[in-house]
Amino acid sequence: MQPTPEHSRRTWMKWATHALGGLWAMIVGIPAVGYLLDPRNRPAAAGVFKRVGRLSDLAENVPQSVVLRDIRRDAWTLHPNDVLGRVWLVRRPGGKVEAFTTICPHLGGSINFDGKQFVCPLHGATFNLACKRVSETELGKPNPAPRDMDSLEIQLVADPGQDDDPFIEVKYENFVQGHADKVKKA
Amino acid sequence: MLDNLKNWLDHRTGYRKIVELLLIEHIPGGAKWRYVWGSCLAFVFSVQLITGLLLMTAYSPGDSTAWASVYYIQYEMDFGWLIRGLHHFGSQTMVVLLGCHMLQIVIAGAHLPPREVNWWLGLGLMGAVLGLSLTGYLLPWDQKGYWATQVATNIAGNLPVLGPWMQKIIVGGPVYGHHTLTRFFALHVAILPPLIVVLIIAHLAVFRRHGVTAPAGAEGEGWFWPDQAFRDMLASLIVFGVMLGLVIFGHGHSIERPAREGLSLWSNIAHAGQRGLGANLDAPADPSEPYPARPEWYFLFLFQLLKYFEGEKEIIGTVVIPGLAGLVLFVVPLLGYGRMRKFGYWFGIVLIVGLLTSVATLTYLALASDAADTPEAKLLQGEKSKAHERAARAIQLAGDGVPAEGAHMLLRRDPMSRGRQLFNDNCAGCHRLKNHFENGEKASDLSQYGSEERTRRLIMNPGHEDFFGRTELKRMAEWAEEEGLDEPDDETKKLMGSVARWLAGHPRKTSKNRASDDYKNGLAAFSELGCNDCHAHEDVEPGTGIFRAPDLTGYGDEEYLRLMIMAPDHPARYGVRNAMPVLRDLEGPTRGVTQQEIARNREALLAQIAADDPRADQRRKRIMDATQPVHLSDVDRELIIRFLLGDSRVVFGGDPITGPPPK
Repeated sequence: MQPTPEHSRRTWMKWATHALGGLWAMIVGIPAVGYLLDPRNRPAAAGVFKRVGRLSDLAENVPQSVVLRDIRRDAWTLHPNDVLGRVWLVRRPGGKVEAFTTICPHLGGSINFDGKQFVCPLHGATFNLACKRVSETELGKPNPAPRDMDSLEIQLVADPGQDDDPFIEVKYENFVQGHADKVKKA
Repeated sequence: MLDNLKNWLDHRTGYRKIVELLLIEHIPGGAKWRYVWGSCLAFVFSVQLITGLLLMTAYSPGDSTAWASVYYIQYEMDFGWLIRGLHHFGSQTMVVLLGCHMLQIVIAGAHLPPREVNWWLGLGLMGAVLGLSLTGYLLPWDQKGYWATQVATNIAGNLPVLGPWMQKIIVGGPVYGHHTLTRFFALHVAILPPLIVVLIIAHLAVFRRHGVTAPAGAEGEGWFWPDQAFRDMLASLIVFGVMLGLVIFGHGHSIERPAREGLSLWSNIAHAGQRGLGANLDAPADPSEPYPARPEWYFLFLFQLLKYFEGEKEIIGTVVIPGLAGLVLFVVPLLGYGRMRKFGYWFGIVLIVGLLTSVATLTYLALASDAADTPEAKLLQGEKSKAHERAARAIQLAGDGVPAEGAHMLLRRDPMSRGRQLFNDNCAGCHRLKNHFENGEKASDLSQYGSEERTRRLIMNPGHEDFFGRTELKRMAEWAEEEGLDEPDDETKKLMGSVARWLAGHPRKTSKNRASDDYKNGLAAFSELGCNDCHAHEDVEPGTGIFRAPDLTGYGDEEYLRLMIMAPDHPARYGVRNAMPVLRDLEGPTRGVTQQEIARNREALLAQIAADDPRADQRRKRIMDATQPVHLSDVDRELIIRFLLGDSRVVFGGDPITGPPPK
């Protein structure tokens, strides 16, 4: 059948209508997707060393939890001095100090110390005093912890006034939960 | 393949029938360009739904977060300026399209029987759209929306009998705040839009029942798909193009950002809001800041109408006339029965044209009176430009983060605007500040305080009226004369320059540049010139002098100034020779402790006056005067310090410590 001029005009209109609709969908759609994916532009704040106490605050092998404060940006709000998180400090025999985040590597619960070992109250992830994952045989049941407690970088900063009692500074960071490997959150 | 899939889907769902139902519509008289307005309205409404949903994913209704989140959308998020701009100008476009649509309807006589119900549904839609405009205007929680909406809700509050009660319900309490925003937000996103969707469906269903109102004697046939659909689509895209143009040539405030060069094209477009594209955002709502409020342009006619009815008669402008107009609009289709039809037709046209003309005239009058050459208009324009500056400043400051107390704290805690004001209130009575404050007669000029240039001039000529010339502190000028330093040779000048550069670095033992040549040279010159005979510094061996001048440790930094302001009579500042009042926070909980401490200092200073001092009475009086503490809150002091040092960062920190009232 030979298309009539009327028929071809209407076909053209159909195509043009679709094309215009498509053009509009693109003009709105591309920015809309970019807007929705905006959080990809927001990297995790780079950790900086923050003072949390002095060496003399700690007794050997007695874990102590301290809070760490810093600037916190929460999207549009700035908290100039907010609690970023909590940290377990352990002073080892010989004076070495270690710091561990209280966030459980399993699913992000808050790890407590029960006097002998570290236990997460959510699913019972258990770590010994050395902050290592307790094995299933030792624990007598499966240990949901995928890895040891996440250690944090630490530095001792000398105080010119008190040479034998340096400040403890910790760099606070977050790590991805659920993996056997410790990976920093981007 | 695709056809097979379509066939399968149609068999399971019957979608083709639905599409046909929507698209295959007979248009007697053929498709026409003037039928496009309704579709354009539906199109722009769909843009509003899409952009509105996107905005909802980032907007945070609340007294302390709303403005900040809108700032974030406009200036920080990818394409936020575009999404918000389309939404902002989309609302104005809808109002214009409503006028076009209505005019087309009455010209076609489509308001007459049997289409009365659809006319009423249309009126309902118009009300809901205007409701969206009104509620949306408040949501950014900026000065413009805040004050304009105050007027609207106060008008509701002035209604007889139920007014005050209604106002309280609308506002969510006795005054504006969190609950006002959450209620307006709920109306704006969860109540009015679904209502509009339902009304549109009903509007379309009733429209289909009676069909297009073909012109009398029209010939020819047409179908919605594709004849009318194409026209609708093209017209909608033209409307969208206009909206896009308004967004791109919008009137937002630009924001200065370092290192914008080298960004990708994508990034440049995504953050074009920073260059002032998109909708305007005014300064954060602050009840303590006056504002020349005007409603959005399409409500200006109501604003103008109000001017003609003062006092008791106000209700005529706010309720009676708009109410009557609404009533007449409501009854106009009923004039189309029987032999009245012709009258009803023309009455409809006259009514709509009359209303649109009145609105246009009143809008023009409102704009003209604000732009006129009268004292009132001049005052308004002045206030407007002040408000404009405040908005630009707030937006610039917000780039570094908004305090949790709320965005209005940006300007209340801005050293450059608020700090300047506080300097005027607390310091400018005695001190000068070149080009800002020129009336102080008792103390030094503090412009460029702590800079190398000012410090060098001070060392070269301490007796100049910019420094100690206006004070009773004559010792340094006398000493300079004794030592022949008032006319220094080149070698001495060089030493003075080294000291000035060293002091401009606010030297302390902990200074980062302590190992640099500037620091070492300055330190050496300080002793060589004999500054250390009177001035102490934590990094310098004291000289042999007995006269005690200020300790210059950290000279000109925040810490140095803090002691100077809070305890100018401190031994490390001017001690017994001090004449500046002690400026302390006397309203906080530490008031009592501070006053005791100041009293103790006073006793100590008085005790230093020798019994045989011939000027003992004079000295005693000065000490008594200077140690009368003057209130300056901690936050205000920090603002002044930052203003003086040119540090424009907002001072974070809440109001003085308070709590709920005791039960």
